[in-house]
Amino acid sequence: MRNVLDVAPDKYLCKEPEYSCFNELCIIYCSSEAHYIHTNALVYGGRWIGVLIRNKPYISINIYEDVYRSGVFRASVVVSDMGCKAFLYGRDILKESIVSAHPPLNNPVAVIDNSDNRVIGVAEPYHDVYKNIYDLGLFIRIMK
Amino acid sequence: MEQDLIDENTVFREIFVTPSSRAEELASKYGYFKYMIERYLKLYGYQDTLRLLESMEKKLKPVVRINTRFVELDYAYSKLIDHGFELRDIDWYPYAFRILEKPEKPSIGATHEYLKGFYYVHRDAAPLIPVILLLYDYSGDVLDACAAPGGKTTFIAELLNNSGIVYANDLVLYRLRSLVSHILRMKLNNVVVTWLDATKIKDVFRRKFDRVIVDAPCSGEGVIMLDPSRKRKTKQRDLARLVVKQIKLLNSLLDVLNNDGILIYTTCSIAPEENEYVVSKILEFRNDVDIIEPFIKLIDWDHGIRRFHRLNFDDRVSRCIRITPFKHEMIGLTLCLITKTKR
Repeated sequence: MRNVLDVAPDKYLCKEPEYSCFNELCIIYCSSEAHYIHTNALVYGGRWIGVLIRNKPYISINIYEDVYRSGVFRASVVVSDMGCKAFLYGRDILKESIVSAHPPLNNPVAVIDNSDNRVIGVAEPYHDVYKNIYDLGLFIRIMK
Repeated sequence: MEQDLIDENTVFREIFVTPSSRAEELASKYGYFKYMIERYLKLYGYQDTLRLLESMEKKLKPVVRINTRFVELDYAYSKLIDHGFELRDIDWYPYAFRILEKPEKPSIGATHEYLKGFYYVHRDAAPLIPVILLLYDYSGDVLDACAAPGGKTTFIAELLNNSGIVYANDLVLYRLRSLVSHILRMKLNNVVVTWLDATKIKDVFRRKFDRVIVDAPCSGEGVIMLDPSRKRKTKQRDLARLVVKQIKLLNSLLDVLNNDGILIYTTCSIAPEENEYVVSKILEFRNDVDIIEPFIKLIDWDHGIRRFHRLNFDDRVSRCIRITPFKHEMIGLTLCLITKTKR
């Protein structure tokens, strides 16, 4: 977060995050509101801060949107309507779908919908495309 | 006390009805268990029973509730219109709409706007009512004891708007996955999700609540228009078993309600056995609870009934409310606002 998004991590993260896994997707969260619940019963709570996919952590869409509230869209690609449609169904982003790109781009980037500037997922550069790491549709596909 | 409350054989004896020949005839025609038709005949009489049965044959159109925490109403509405949906206002809640017509594609659960968390799709408008009543003039934490798949939880979280946390619990893990997916999709950050038998909440949670909602597992006979299998799913013995669980559940959750707090007990059922009977048992055996009228009147709902078949219920159940499909053009739903008083 510090190196790529240029923000102080402790503003967005917590000291003792927890996670819950649903099939191959693990949700990382900060659960300060759940301190009076026995942890065996806790499935999820509070603030969503990231995901674990194939044992690698990625920042949550919520955090990206919080960071971008300042108007600075570091480490992101803005995608056309066609690109969004495909991405939200789990597909990768082709070069021709990218409306604009905001460096640094050699790490995971936030994917932003051109129509309303909302973050719809995270992708990673791979050859000529941005590979879909996760998108908002994933939660519906995996967690139904 | 629990032993007196929860004897299944006693419940079965008390709620048992012998179907009349009229009930048999209608049951055969519409595909129900006979005792259910007998119940409706006793509740509504013959003509209104026919109206009820006909209303249960008509599938209801779903309702979208806009996530006002996250998107402007007009923007979300216009996006849906652009997709080709035809929407009708819900008179008593300006941020929800009945879908009258839909385009061939996309379906309401497949739009970008849905994936981006702009709205939640309810199967009907009636489930909004308990939440609106529970949160009237309230800010603070809420316990949603039987929360999945998340319609009421996400609505509560949205209305609280960071003035409180929703503690959303359910027993069924695969349904909790849906709940979590909705929370993430709708970008709600004031929800805690637990996986527990709700009767254990009082042992596991080291706190009590000022507001609790119990959308109790029920026969679902109020949603037959959405799931016709409910016509022949719950036999009378099964119903007795279910009623015992409902009584135990409600009794247990009243123990996590603060004094002067409000608990809403609600089912998607118009069966008095699952509603007025359950609440009456609680009133009979506890001296620290009362039923209160809703603070606002959203529609011209029916009141709880005081007598059914051989049963006389506590008079106070008339303060409960009933949504009746053939009158209100919604699913069948019953709810009671129960408050905790000092002993």
